[in-house]
Amino acid sequence: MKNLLLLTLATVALGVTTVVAFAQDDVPFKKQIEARQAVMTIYKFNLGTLGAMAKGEMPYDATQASAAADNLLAAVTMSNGAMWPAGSDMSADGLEGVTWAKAEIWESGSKVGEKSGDLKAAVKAMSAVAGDGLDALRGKMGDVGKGCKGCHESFRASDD
Amino acid sequence: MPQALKAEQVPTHSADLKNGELIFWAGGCASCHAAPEAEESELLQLSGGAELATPFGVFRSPNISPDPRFGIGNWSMLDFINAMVKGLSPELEHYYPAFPYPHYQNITFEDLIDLKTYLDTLPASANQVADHELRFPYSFRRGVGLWKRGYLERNRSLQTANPATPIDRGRYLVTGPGHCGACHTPRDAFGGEIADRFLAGAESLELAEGPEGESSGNIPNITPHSDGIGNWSEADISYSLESGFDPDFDSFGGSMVEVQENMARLPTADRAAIAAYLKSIPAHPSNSP
Repeated sequence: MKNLLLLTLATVALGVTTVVAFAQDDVPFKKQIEARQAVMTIYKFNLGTLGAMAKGEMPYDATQASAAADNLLAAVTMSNGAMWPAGSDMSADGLEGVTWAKAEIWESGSKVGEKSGDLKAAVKAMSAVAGDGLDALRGKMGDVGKGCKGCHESFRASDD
Repeated sequence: MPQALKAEQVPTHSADLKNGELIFWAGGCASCHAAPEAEESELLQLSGGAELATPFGVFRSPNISPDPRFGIGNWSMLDFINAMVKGLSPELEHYYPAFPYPHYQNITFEDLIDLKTYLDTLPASANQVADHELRFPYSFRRGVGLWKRGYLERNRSLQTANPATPIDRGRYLVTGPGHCGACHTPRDAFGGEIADRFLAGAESLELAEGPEGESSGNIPNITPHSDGIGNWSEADISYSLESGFDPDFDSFGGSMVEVQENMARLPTADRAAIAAYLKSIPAHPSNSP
């Protein structure tokens, strides 16, 4: 009787351990996905300052504008290959609802490199003039927006 | 027999090319009729051929350049107006409402005259586009006549030739050339928009690539509900149409990018009018899937 009880407990314990192990494997590339989404949050935060000034919601301040633009430049020019490993797109097992990155990013002939280059160029142009006055800042917002949209149009699925 | 408009119903109007260009961008013509991935000046070459994969099958947008053989260069003004307002070809065949004439029927005759005159100035293309590939029973074009009886009326909105307020102008742009409801309003089993859920968001009719025939995703609720854009100000809405940034500085993506880039070409007052109208419509919660 006691042996049967111990055997049952052992089997249950083994089962629980196995389930826990699978649960951790449910989200492949979790760290990479979290990191790249965090980088996007940093883009958003700094764009928020530039955009608020462009929209007239916040008074223009040359020092703050420069700082935000420089931060954005640092973020977009960060070496990011490690955060975008092949297989970490939304069609992978376990990644539905975790990432909205489309497999097209990694397909051969993908223009992701070109679009990334366009974003960097636009942010570089912004950071060169963000401290030079509101008109200069406003003048570059359009290209920065285009830079973001370039990837989001083709490579990000809707998350609504 | 389909009810085409007659020549005497079309007013005399001397065309305003600048306004024609405005209606062209507001109507998003290039987004379907220019080649896929067209940019900048390529957007003015309306050679057709873009494919739209939907649950009804694959639609292919026609050549609407002024080419007289392969485009619409030999169409009369009346032909163009019948297409846009009645969904009828010059041969009196029905167009599929993938061409959003249920919305374009709200554009004034004067604006349509301006638009056709503008289209006639664009480059001709001799591109020949293959037919649609539609599933049974949608391949029976005549069936659209029946559909129109049930559904054409519901998209008709009040036409104000000279809008008195920004909201009037916004209503005109949204329910007419902008055809926002064509994506943002959910549809019933027969593909008609559900009026009680106007702009409350929908599953896209555009299918994702791949054999499963899945929708490419959800299209947002843009009513003033908290599920929609209720906490966006008018300035947020018009700025988003100008720049592609939402109030948190996330950027638009997917199909909305080309819509926004069309809206960015309108005068500031028109974007502000759209914003004013969107804040004025009934708030609806989103459909729960």
